[in-house]
Amino acid sequence: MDYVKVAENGYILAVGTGVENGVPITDSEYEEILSAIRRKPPRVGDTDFRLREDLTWEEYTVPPPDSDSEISEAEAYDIIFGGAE
Amino acid sequence: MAVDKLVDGTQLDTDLTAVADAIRTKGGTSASLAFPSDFVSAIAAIPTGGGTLPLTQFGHYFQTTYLTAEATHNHVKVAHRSGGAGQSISLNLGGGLSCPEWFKINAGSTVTITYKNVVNANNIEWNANFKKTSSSTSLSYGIGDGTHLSGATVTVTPTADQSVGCFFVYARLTSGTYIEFDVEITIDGVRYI
Repeated sequence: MDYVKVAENGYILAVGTGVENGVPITDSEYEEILSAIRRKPPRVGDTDFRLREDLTWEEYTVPPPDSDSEISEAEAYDIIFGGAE
Repeated sequence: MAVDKLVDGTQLDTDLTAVADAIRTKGGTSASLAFPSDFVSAIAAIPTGGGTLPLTQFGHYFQTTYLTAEATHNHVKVAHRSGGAGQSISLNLGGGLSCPEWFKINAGSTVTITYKNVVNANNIEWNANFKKTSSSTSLSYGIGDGTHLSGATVTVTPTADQSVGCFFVYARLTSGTYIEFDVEITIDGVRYI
């Protein structure tokens, strides 16, 4: 199986197959990451945990949710599409 | 039982069989169904919520400047009208630009996205992801690429809980082209789209 991991800024976001921006990993690496995911500590309030590339969990404070009402529909189009050709 | 109407027995049998076949197909069974008791029981057993979310719960939303688009449940077709320039599209299969949160995917859950009956996907740049809102992203890494063929499946296991709203599909179509496909999404083996 062609497994990949998706990582950003030193943290693993996901593992899977067929993901476009994933880095290929071996079957055993996939199983190791999956095992680490299953050991994730539970979130308590605004304190959650993110997975480092060394498969250890790092505690962090979850940021507040975004506010949808702060941008217009036109601004949203620009964010999503970067402007039509 | 009182008799007050004459009916075409053959047609009635045909019609009831059609209904029973539809119930059996939906339920994934080949069992015989007694009318009306088994019909009533089967229909009553259809889930009304608690985790099965039909694609059309919040409707479909398309950027339509140069496009014609149609969607029925999990079937999508988008065409680029001739005369316009190459166009990026966003097929929001869950609502408007401001996506309501409709589900939380827990860390360690396995999400599968399967594309079926794909038409014209080759040589078209496209990918898909989930977004919670128009500006904030959740499970936002690209899924899929322009070479996906019919039956292709992408699996994703996130390391953190994900609050997801819309399922976005992005594609860059050239003038006069179209893309068409069915999409199915499961989470830990349970189908949601």
